[in-house]
Amino acid sequence: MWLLETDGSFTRDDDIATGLEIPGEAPPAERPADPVVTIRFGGAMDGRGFSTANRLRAEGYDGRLIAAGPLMPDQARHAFQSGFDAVLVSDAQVQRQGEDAWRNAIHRSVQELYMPEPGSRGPERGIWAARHAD
Amino acid sequence: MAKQRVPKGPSVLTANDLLTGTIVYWTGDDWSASMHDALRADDEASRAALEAAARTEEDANRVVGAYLFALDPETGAPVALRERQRLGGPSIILPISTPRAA
Amino acid sequence: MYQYDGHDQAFVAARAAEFRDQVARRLAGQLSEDEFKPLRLKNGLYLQLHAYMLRVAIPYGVLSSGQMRTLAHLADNYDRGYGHFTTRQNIQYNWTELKDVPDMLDILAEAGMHAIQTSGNCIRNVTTDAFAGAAGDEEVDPRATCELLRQWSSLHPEFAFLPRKFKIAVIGAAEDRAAMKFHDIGLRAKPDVQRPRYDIWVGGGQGRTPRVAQLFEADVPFERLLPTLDAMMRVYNLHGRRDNKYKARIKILVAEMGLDAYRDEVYADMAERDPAAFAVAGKEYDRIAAFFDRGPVAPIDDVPVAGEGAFAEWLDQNVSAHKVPGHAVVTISLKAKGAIPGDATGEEMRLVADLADDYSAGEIRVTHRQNLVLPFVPQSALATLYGRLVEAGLATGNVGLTSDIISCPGLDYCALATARSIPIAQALSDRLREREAKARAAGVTVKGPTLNISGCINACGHHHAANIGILGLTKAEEESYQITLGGRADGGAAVGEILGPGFTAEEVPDAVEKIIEAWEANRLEGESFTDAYQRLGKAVFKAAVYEEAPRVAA
Repeated sequence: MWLLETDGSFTRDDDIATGLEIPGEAPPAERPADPVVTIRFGGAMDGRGFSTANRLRAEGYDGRLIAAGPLMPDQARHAFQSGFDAVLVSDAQVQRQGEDAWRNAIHRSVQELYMPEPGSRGPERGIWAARHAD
Repeated sequence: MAKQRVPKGPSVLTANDLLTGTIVYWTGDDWSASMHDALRADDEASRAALEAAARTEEDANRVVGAYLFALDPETGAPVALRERQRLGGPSIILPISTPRAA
Repeated sequence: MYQYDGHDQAFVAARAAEFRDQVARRLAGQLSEDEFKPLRLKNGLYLQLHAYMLRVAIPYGVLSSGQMRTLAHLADNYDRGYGHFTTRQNIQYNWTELKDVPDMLDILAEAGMHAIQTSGNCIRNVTTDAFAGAAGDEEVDPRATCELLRQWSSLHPEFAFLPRKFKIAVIGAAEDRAAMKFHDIGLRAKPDVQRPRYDIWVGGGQGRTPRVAQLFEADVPFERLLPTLDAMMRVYNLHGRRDNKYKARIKILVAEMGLDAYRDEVYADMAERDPAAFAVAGKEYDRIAAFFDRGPVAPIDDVPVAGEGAFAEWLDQNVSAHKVPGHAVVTISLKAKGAIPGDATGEEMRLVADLADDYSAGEIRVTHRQNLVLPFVPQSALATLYGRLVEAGLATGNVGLTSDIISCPGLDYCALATARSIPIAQALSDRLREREAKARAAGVTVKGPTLNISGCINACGHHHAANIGILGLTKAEEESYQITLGGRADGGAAVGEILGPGFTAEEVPDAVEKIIEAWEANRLEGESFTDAYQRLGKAVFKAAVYEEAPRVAA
């Protein structure tokens, strides 16, 4: 398996700590106590995992959140900006979608949004904040 | 693309060209913009061969949304309204880049 | 109007570059079609029957003359010399090639434009009143709210893979000219001390299951607008159905959960959150609103304008009251006799851009009825403007008449369509323009029923919301047209009822004419079509269309 971190580093490791795994379909009833939580997306088009992560952050979960499932490199920024710390990618995904595409996922997508999501781990500072900095 | 059912009668394979979006028909070894060039499948084995070509060609990223459609056994024309429209192109006179008559 | 700053410019340029990379990866096979499709749709690129179609955003329908010239340039150089203005105030190009689209996006970005979220399961281009900033009855200019929502929703990380598409409309006047209650979320902005407050409506929509929106909460202060929309979107994202695309819109969620339960979920989500995250939105609203507060024209003396013949008809139908004295709002009809509704050639776009520069402070609007508007015309220029429109064949005086038909592209272009729409619209236009000319010659004031045509149940042609709606279907591999009556898109929004069995394409003009005749024969003095329909009931119209003897005593 491969892991993409918010700083853009992308490395392969056979032994990745994924902690508690939960489905992306719904936020858990209780805030997990585990230091690492992996949220598994049911499909690339199923955006519930993003809201599940966002909800966990809003509830105060400050451990490590990993996104897993059949995501595209283009969705990495969505994951980070929704509160994930990392994206877990299978060898098969990397082989087909391209190691280069994953390695450059952050740089090739739009990074600076108008308003960052609360809980975002993304690189953005927010255009609104920049406009009204004083 | 919605996967369409394989027709029972005579049929041909169509798709849109990935790069240009143009409607194309499978000739047996390539794609043509003209349905006259299309390879007609009249039995189950040849329809299965067209199905296989559809998958191969999609996987090769040459075309998008490849599927078989049925022909009228007598006239050889597409049975479905949608295919008749695809074949005929827009039925209307297209606007052109000149002013309308006053 | 709103002007891009360096941030906006960099944002759309970055999105264009991102899409160029996505196209390259698709062609290299690193993205499968199943993966690429949602990515291209989120950038407005469809694969239609004959070609790729690019839908370009015209945020809340506002364009500068320079942007219109850019659209003309794209029509002439990347399409077949024309484009189609849509019911969502956008423009679509029917004949683009995938390989050219990145270049088109670069050209758009240069002009401060984009194709972001004009399709896909995300928050779509926000729409509004085409007369915003000019309408005499306006209380709050809705465009500042629209621009704020455009920025907030653009490339939103969390709400980009929703169960289904999501449409928001904003109005700021008592009269609803944006079909606000037929949107997933509709906002009615009202004046308040500093910034507006809002009535929030939810769960409206057309398509297979038409619904009029319900009031979610009234008088929401500005500070709570974005926090509330954020929570409304999140509850929809988490709970909206994903098992059946026809049941995936928020209207179904609200219907199945019940409005109260939905509202409880939204408030529960908000309760966990610090609204301070959205505090900067207030300053941003003020910055945006300042662009619109600086109205482009100053009051001048009112000039009485009168005319004869076709000019008089045009003044009556296409010219509306303006909030700034001495000015008028002019609608340019794209519904000439036999024309394709909403289509304009590159040449026509350039002419409208020139007219905007000469007579309308360089500004143009696109209406949801697929016409163009010059919003700031001095009354003293109306006669000259009319003359130039006549020369260009764009002077049809039928705005608000029945021949001002809404039509989707239908099966002549669209991969989802089940029947053609455009030829039906053209045939009806021919017939109706003749009726309207006769009525006018006879001194009758014509204010016809609205007529909208969709080529499939997805209802892009808004047939449910028309007084007379036409829906094209495929029956046994032939086209069949169903007629609905009594729909309304205005403040009294209502969904039309099916009249009876369907018609062939050839039968449609006669059927529509019989419906209009039945209304004229049975209406009370000054009674609108929908009022008459409600009073008389369907039977009168059914008899008129399906039986030989059509008349009933009023």
